[in-house]
Amino acid sequence: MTSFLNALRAEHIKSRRSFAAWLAGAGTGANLLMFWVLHLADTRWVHAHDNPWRGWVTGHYQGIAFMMLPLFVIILTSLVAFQEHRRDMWMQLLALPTARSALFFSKFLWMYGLFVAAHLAFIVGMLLTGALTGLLLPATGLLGHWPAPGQVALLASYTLFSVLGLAALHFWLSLVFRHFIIPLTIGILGFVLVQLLGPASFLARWLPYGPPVQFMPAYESGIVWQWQPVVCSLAYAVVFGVVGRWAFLRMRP
Amino acid sequence: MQPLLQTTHLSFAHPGNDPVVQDVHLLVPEGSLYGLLGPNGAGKSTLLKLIAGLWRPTKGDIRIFGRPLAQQQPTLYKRIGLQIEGPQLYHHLSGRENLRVFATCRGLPEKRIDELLALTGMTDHAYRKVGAYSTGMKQRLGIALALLPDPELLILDEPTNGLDPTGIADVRALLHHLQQAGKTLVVSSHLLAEMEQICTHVGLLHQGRLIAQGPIGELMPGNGQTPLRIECAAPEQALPLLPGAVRGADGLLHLEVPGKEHIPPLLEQLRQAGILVYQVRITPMRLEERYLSLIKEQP
Repeated sequence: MTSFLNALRAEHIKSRRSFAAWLAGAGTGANLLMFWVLHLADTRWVHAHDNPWRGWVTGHYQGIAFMMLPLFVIILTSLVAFQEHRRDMWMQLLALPTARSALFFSKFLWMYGLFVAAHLAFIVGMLLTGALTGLLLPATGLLGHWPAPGQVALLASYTLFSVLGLAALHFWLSLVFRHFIIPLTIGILGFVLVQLLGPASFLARWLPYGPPVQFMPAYESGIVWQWQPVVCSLAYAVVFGVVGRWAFLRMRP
Repeated sequence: MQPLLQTTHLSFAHPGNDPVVQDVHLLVPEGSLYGLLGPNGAGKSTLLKLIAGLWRPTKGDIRIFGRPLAQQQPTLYKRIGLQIEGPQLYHHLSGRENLRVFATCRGLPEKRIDELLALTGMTDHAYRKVGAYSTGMKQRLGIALALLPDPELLILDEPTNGLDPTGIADVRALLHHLQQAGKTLVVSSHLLAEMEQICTHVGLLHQGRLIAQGPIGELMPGNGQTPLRIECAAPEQALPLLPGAVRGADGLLHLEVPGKEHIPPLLEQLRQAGILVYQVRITPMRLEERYLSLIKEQP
C-alpha cells in the first residue's frame, strides 16, 4: 500500500506543467467559455423548465456529452501514457522496487483523478457562469432560483461512471502502442462510429464508446436513472483493467 | 574478489531474428569497475538490460548478489541503480523535480536529493527545466538518478556519450570515486581508450559474444611479447608477410613479436618484398589494439 501511495505522489509531481494537466485545465476552461457564449446566443433554455437552472445545467451536459467526454478522456489517457513513452521513462519506472500492479493502478487512478478534478472544475465553472449570466441578463431568472443539487449530482455521477470503461480501454491501448497517434486514431474512429450508428442504436449501446454519449438523450426524454450505460461502462472498466494490467506486467522497456 | 554478478550461457534474440547476445558467461567481481566494451551494435545495451532484469533472456541464467535474479524482483532494485540507453528524464520538470519523482517512489528523504545534486555538481542547475540542460548536464543528472538508492551495483550505459573532453574527465573521476567508495560498477562504452584508464576489469563484446574478460592487466599480451607499430609504404601488401598483424585506426601495422631480436628479420622480409619501411616503434599495447587482434582471431 505504501508503494502504491508513493507512486501516486510521484504522479502528482510529474503532472506539474505536463500536457495532461494543461489539457485538464485549459480544456475545461475552453468548454465553459464556449458553452457560455452558446447559451447567451440562444436563450431557449430559459423557458424549457420551471427553474431556468435546469435548462442551464442540461444544456451544459448536452454539450460535454456530445464532444467533451469521449475525446477528452481519449486524449487525456493518451497524454498520461505518452509522457512515459516519449522519453523512454519506462526504463526507470520498471526498475523501481515497486510492484508493477502498484505502478499500473496508481497511474490509472491519477489519470482518472485528473478527469474527476476537471469535471468538478467544470461544475463550479458552470454554476459561476450561470450566476454571472443571471447578473448580466436578469430576464433569465437565474438569480431568482437555486440550482437543483439532485440534477447536478445525477448528471455528474453519470458522467464519472460512463467514462470509466472508455478510460480503461484507452489506458490499455496507450500502454501497448507507444505512439500517441495510434490510440488517438482508434478513439476518434470509435467515437465517430457511435455517432454514425446513433447513441441509442443496439450496437452503440454495447460499445465502450457508447455510454458517455448515451445517457443525455435518454435523460432528456425523461428517463432519470439508467442502469445499462453505467453497468456497461463498469463492466468494460473491469475487463480492460484486467487486460491492461496483464499487458503492463509483461511490458518490456 | 567474489562475483557479485554472474551469467551462464546467457543468450537473447528478438522473436524471428538472429541472437543479439550469445552464450555470454559474464563474471563481475564485487568492488570492481567492470567495463563492458565493444563497438556500436555489439550487444552491450541488450546485455545490460538482461542483467538488470528488464528483459528476459532467451536462454541462460543470471545470478546477482549470490541468488538467481528472477527470485529478487522487484526488491532487487533497492540494491541496483541503472541508466541504460539514457539518460531518461522528464524534460518538462526541473532536475530536482526529476530526482524527487523517483525519490518519492522509493520513499527516500529530500536530503538524499541534495546529496546527489552536490555529488554530481548539479546543485546550481537544480531548479532549471531539464529541457534546457546541455547533454553533459543530462548525463550527470542521469547518473544522480541511478545513484538514488545508494546502490551496491551501478549499471551505466555509455555514460560519456555526447560529452566534451572536460565532461568525460569529470564522469571518469566520478566513476573512479564511486569504485573507490566500494561500489561495483558495470559500465558499457565503445570508447575503449577512455575505459582503459579507469576499469579494473573489462569484458570485450563482439557480435553479441563475450570474446575476452578479466582484470585489465591480464587481458594484455603476456610477458615477453613486444608490441610493435610499423609504418610502411604498402601496408596491405605487408600484412600477409607479418603474422598476427592488424591495421590500426592510425594507419600503422600493429603486431606482437616474442622479443626485440625478431624485429630485424621482419624488416628484412619487408625489404625483400620491396616494401619501404618508414618507421618501427615499440609501444605498449592498448586495449583497442588488443580488441582488434582478438576480433581477428575469431572464427
